Amino acid sequence: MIKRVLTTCPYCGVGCGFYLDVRDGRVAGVIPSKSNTVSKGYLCVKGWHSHEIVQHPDRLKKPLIKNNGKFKEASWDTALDYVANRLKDIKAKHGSDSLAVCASARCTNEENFLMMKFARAALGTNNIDHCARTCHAATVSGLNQSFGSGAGTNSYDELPFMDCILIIGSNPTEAHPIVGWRVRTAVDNGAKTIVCDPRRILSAESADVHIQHYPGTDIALINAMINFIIRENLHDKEFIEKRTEGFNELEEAVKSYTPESVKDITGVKPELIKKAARIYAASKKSCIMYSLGMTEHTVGTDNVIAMANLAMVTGHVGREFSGVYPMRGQNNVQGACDMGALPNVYSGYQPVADKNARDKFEKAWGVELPARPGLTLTDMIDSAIKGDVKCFYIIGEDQVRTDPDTHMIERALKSLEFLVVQEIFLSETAKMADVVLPGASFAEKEGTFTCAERRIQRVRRAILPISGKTDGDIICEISGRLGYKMEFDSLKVCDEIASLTPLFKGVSFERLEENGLQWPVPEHGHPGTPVVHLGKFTRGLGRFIPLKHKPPAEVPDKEYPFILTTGRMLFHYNTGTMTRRVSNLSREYPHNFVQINPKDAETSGVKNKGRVKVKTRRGELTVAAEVTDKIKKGVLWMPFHFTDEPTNVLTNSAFDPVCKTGEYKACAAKIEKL
Amino acid sequence: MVLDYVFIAELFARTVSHALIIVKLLQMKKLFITKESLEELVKNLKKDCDEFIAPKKEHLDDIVFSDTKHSGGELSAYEGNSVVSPRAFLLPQTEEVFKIISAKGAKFKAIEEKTRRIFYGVRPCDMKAITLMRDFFADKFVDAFYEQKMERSIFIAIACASRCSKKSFCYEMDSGPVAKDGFDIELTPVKMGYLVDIGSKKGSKILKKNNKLFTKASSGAIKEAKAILERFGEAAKRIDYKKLARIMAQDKVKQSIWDDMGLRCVACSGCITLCPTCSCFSFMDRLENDRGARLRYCDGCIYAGFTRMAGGSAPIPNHKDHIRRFFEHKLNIDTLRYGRPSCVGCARCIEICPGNIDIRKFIEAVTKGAE
Repeated sequence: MIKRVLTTCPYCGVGCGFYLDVRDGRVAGVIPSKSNTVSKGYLCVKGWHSHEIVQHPDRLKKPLIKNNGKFKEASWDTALDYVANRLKDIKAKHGSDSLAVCASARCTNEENFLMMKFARAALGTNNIDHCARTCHAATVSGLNQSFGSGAGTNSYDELPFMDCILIIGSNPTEAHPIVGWRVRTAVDNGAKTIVCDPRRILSAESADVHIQHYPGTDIALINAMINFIIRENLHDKEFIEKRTEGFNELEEAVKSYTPESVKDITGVKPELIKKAARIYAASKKSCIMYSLGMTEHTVGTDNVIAMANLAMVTGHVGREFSGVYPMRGQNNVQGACDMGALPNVYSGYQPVADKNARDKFEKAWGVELPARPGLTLTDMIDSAIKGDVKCFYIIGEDQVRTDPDTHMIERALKSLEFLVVQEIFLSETAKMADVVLPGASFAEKEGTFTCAERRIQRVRRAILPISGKTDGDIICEISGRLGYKMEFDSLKVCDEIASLTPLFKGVSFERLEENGLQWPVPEHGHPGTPVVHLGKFTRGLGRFIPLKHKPPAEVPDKEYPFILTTGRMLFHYNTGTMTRRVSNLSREYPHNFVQINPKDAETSGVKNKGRVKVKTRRGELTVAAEVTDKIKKGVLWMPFHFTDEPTNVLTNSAFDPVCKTGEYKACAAKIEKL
Repeated sequence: MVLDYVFIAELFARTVSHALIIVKLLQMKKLFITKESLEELVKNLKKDCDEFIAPKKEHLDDIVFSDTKHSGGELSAYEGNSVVSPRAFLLPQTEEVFKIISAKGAKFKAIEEKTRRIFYGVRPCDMKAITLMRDFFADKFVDAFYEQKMERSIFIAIACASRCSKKSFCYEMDSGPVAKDGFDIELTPVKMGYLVDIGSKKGSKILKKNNKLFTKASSGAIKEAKAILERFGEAAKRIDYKKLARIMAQDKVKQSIWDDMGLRCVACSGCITLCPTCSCFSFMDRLENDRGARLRYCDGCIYAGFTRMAGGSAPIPNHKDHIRRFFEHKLNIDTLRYGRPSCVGCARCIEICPGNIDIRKFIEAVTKGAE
């Protein structure tokens, strides 16, 4: 029997659409959907292979309970009873706030809503967060301060028609290839591109300006651009006057940042900064695209604000064919934020501290809800080590491999009294759990994902859950055992979200059927919102916030002379739990490596493909060297996809004080030839 | 016409009771079927197969070959082409080729593919692709997995009245708008119905079984079809593929063309997955403890790992040369090997390329640049 199931890609935040090709119950392939607004028939290599992991033999099929350090298979009833009882005990003994839930950007919106409802209504704690903390929390906090809304401002389909695309800390052709296609099309249509990246990534090869600045010097760079733009009278005075506030303070703050004065900090020739500033400011249709290269810093929030400043100074926001595009890393990290899988807000960013919002949810859910915002993921780790948090319930995330400073994360998880991990493969984090609950992949559930252009799209079930339950089912069953019943029919949950969340009031499965909807959808029948801040920012006036350059928490010195930065590559996805189980993807890059500039290689005696030891103050790792002039002198680059050669033993857990995102993108390191 | 003779010869071999039909058929050069009778034919055909693979409208405007034997909804007449070609059934993205009962004990169980498939509505370009793939899968070395599917397949082609997309160039590659070879039955749409060509014994069997549904084609219908097909090729020029292959074989393609391709290709694998003539594959074992299956899966030239040796040495190390292999294989090597290129101009690779690589523009640039 042949079945074609239209669904949304489970990898990055672009949100491509395809059919799963199911033959006699086997997910045999992928067929692109040309009618899908987001992908239009285009897919990247990961998407083209997303069928391969669904029925992989390594999939977890039965619950596992650890006994004397060894996992033993258990029935669902035994495992769920056990988990529920332990949660009850810990709650009774140490209080609700000793429990913490880590929701999942890999799961559906409906499941994330249930997770946050479970944490708040069933467990009674606001200790819920998810991996946005390690990627785009800075976007939410930064854009929210500048514009009043923490999401992307414009739509993908405007990109091919831009005159100028400024790409900073983002690698579209590798990390978001189908947005990369739109950038390519823009270039083919004559657009100018500016790429700011310490590496000469593929987009930089065709760029008009490639600014190869040192990691962690973005504010200096952007301030210098703003400085030059104002000095050259290229700023949009009318826009500044009518739509913004705080310009004078900004002007004052950037005065000392001339392209010449930031030369040493950034390592960039002033002419390049001027050229880039001129192209960006003078082009009619300009936008900024950024990603984790900007957010994963101790100044992540400020970096995001700096870009908002640049966009507002030139009037390149708040209208069509302009804007700020934060490229989201995971299929549903936008959605997990939107659903309130965050410690301080309910769905649609309604603050838990706001009495009106709390009253509304209390009334709908029939329970009293905690008023104090909960712990962020970063704080949960700290609190676990301190002993305040006793139990983590983690869904679909591998902190041991994704969070910075692996050894610290391991210490935190070992300090817990009880760790539950809900996963589809036995990840490193799952291995540390007391109970592992087998979740379901994207191909096994009904629901929605929200992509980086705020488009909510349907996910449809191609095969029954391999473990017998979806992640939503599991949460609801545990909640029921704790005495709090929750509805889990994804269609009804979607309706519940709409009824409680003004941003999604007009959303329903029926309306998403055709090509999804871009939020805000404030009314039934509302067509969705392709461009936000049109005519007026969400917060009223756009706010300029003056910024100063601050170096990363750790800068190179005599002992650790290099800046180590990390990132994602085309053929792999995050910790590789999926892509390393796909034959062709794994074959392309089976092992970890470190990129080093030929000049640095020469002075360190490092040879191409030779084994080297990379060391930081937190750990060391032996990998192969890739000697390439694509990386700036003085900088090392490593991917983080290899669980057996885990890069995050090296990275720094110093974090942004506002959004608590770790500094993956810059730390001091040394390299030794072996 | 050779094909008509096969058909007629087969009919001669039948009993005398068919004499009348034979006389009737000898008189006609072309057959005709009305739209209503075609529906009847489809109904009858569905009874004689396990899967009726036909173009079906999926979400919005997506046309995809699906099994409509039970679900129905096939497009009996349609414009455009399916996102996937029949290759997706003959050489699927992944397929189990045998079961592994015990890996340690080396015990295996064959999987026999017995599905009888009728492919309906196959476009001439895809039909030609199937004939080209036979050169690879069933020439000197016969690929059993492929061949057992081919043996049980019937192909009913539909000629194209208009181009399926702005980017297609089947006429230029001599693979459209009508199929010349490979089909069992071909239908050419005209106003009142379809002209019918029989291409094989399998085709004539169908005709015989359903002979009441067919009539002799009127000269008006034949003229009409001729006009439609002529219009299709208007203003188009056949590509001189021999010249193209010669230029490529002599390595006279400008380096800048290959360099540009390297900057565009993001190794998505869409081209090699959707190309109706791509034939490369690899195997993988999927084992759970000791049991599992061996799977064949589509593989190909765009991957660095495709030709990497054990120990890590790569004969073709540069990214830009991987996508080049796709072009060399289709347009150069296969022309040397088989006397014709392995591109049928369906434009699938153009329409799904995130780097906007365009094989048609490549051909134009290469052949023009050399003049």
